[in-house]
Amino acid sequence: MYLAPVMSTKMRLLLTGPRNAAENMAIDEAILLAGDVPTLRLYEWSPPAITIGYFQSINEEVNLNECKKRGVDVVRRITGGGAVYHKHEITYSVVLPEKLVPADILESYRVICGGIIYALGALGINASFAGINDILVGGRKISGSAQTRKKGRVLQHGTLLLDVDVDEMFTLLRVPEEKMRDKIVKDVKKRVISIKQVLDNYRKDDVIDALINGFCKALHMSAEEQNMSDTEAEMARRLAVEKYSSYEWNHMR
Amino acid sequence: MIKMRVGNAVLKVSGGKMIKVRVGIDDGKICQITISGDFFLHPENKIFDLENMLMGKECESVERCVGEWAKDVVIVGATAEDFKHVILMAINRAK
Repeated sequence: MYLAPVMSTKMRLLLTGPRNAAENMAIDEAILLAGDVPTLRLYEWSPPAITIGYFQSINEEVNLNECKKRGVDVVRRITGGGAVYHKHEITYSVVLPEKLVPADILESYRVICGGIIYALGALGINASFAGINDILVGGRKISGSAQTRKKGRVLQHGTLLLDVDVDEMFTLLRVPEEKMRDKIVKDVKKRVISIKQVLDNYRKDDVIDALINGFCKALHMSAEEQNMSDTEAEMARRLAVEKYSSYEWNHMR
Repeated sequence: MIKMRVGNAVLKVSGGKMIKVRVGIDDGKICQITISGDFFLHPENKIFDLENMLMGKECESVERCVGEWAKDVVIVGATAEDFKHVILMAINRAK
C-alpha cells in the first residue's frame, strides 16, 4: 500500500541547467538506475531538441531534414508517450522508490503532476490535470509527462512550457490527423499554451522556485540542492555517447 | 518472387493514445511486424516480446498471442483489445 511520505523525507535537488538531448536523457537514466535517493531534477535544452517516445517511429514523428537544417537534436526517450519539442521550457524529472508513489500508474501521474499544478497556482495560473499525463490551462496543454519504472524506482519526466512557437513546433513534428480526432480543440496549434501567454511578466527563476516548492508540496518532501554522484555522472557520460547518440537506439523504430 | 503483402493500420484510442501497426504477411503468416505509437507499456521492452511472439504465426492466432502477452504487462492509454484490433486491421489490409 502507498503511504504518503512525511514532510521530513529529504529529496535531492539537481539543477543541471541547459544541456544537449543525449546528455539530458542520459542523466535521467543514470539517476534512475544509479541514484538511490529521492531526486528532483530541473533542466533545460541547448540546442533545442525533440524527444520521441520509446515506442515511436522517428521517421513518422519527426521531420528530420528540418531538424538538421535548424540544428535541433532528436533523441528517443526510455519512456513511452509522444514526441515533444523542447525549447523554451523547464523540464523536470522525479526519481522515487516505487513504494513512495501509488502502485497504480495513472494515480501516480496525478500525484507527481500535482507538483506542477501547485507551481502554476503559486504563479497565479489555474491549471488542471487531464487525461493520462497532461496539464491544461484554459483547455490547452502547458505540460506533459511520461513515466517508466525500473529496479523498484519510478522515473517521471515532463515539461512546463515557458514560451512556444507553434509554427516551428509543427514544422519539426509530424502530427497525424488521427491524434486529433477526439480532441475538442481540433487545430493543433491552438492545443498548446505557455506561461508567457498567460502572464505578462514572469522570471524563469520564479518558475524554477515555484516548481521546487510545488514538487515538495505534492510529494510531501523537502528539497536540498546537491550534485550528481561520481557513479551517476560517469554512467550518464557513457549513456550519452553509447546509447543516446547512437543510430541503433534513436532509429530503433 | 516476393509474395509478402504489407498492411498498415492506425488506431487512436478514444481518450487514450495511438497505436500504429505495420505488418507483412506471407502465405497467411506474419513475417514482419512493427508496433509503434505514443502509448505507455510497462515494462517497455515487452513490446519486442509481442512482436517476436507474432512472427511466423498464422493470422488466426493474433487474439490468443496478444491475450497471453497482456497478462504480464501494464498498458496505459490503450487496452489489449485495442492492440488486437489494430493488428487485425493491419492484417486485413495486407490481404
